[in-house]
Amino acid sequence: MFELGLKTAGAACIVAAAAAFGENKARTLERRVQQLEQFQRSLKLLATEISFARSLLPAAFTSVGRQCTAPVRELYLNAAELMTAHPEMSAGRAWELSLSRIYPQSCFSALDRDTISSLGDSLGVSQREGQLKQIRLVEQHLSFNLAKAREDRERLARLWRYLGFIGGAALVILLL
Amino acid sequence: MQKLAVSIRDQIISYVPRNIGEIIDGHPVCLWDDLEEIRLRLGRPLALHGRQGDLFLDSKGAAAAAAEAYRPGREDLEQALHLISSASLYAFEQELRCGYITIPGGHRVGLCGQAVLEQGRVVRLKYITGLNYRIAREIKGVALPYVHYFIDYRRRRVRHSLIISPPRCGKTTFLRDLARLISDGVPGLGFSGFKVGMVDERSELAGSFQGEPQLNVGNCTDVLDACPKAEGLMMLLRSMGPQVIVTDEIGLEEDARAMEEVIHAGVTIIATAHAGTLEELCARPGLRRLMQMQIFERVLFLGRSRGPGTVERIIDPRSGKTVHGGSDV
Repeated sequence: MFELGLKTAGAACIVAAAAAFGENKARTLERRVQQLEQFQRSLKLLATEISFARSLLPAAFTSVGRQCTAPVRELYLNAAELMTAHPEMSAGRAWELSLSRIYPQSCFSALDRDTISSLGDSLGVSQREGQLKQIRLVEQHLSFNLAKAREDRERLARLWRYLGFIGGAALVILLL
Repeated sequence: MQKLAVSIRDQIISYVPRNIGEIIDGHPVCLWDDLEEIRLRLGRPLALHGRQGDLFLDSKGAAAAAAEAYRPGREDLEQALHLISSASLYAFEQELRCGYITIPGGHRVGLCGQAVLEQGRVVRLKYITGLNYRIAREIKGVALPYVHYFIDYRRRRVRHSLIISPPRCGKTTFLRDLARLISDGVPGLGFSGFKVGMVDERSELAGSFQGEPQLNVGNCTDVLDACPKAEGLMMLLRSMGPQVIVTDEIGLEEDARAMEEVIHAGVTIIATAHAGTLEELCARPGLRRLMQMQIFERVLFLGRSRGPGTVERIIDPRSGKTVHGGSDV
């Protein structure tokens, strides 16, 4: 009786763990979409800071960062902090360093990282029109990433949830 | 190093490439006390200009002949531009078009390079090959001995006035201090402050950085920074209700027309203009009409007879009488 109870508990644990793994994967896909949407919104705010307010980049980053949620918030605030602490550091370098800091905690894919990183290429080194063109270019790439992320979410999120549960159940059957 | 020099050094040093800052600091004698300009020219000697004259520095900070002096490279100039624009060139488009950027402290960095034209007008500079850090020093009290000439005590108003001199005689410094005194008032001379509006087209008067005056222009002074004079005069008149409007370097006919509007609205105007004599002043088309209309009640002549900022003479152009120094016109 005790042995059966133990086995049942073990099986339940395996199924729960596998289901949680699947759920986590599904949530990562959802969070990626949310974070990309957040970053897309931040680009619009940045474009406004540059074209209308003409704020200096550290101030623009701080202002945009404060209006966003993690990890996009940290991406901008870290970059602003680096530029303020090291005035000789280029905006591109500060952006890249900040991105490397937040990337491990984010749900961005490698492709998203490349897209976000490309924003730093010409930050601060061209005229207003050049800056806005660069932002628009990143927005275009981001739209593609976002469409792909949404598609992945629709297609794979449910699949991961099923797979997690079914995989756990299959493992239990195999072990029994 | 004197306290003022420490403060000026602290303001400037973070906007100068690190190695050049170290070169200046490496000079055996403190140069900041009387430094007026730091000139970085691509591939040519690093030059400092002070009250004592020009000086070239080598890579260790010692005075050197031109052949041994440190020569800033492309990287130095790019680094300098990066620092003075806070890595945000787009935020300084207008300044790049005008050829200077103002940094905190009211100091201005003049820029030279290749002009980019669109429809025949300069839209910006590229390939920056020369930077000139011009150190702003306000001299408080320089206008104090003369401020009473500008006050009409009987009618409790400030007189329409013009300050004239050839370049580099201290017009802007004098006008800044005069604006401060008129704004704050001088109880000892029997007048309290007036509301002053300042149109600072070239960010020289108030030395504004991001719109905030870095130099003391008085407690009751509203500054319209980087705004064309003619437009700025009308904007101040309509929006800020000033009693006195102060502006620098008038000369264009549109400036004169806007000044007429201001004067007819019952607001006092104080301005500066480039001219050595009254005849030269009247020969300038933009100013001739104002002089013929006898608008100004005081014209102050600055010169360098006892150093920059010497008040040579103050006249009442309506009567032709000299009210201070020299002889009648």
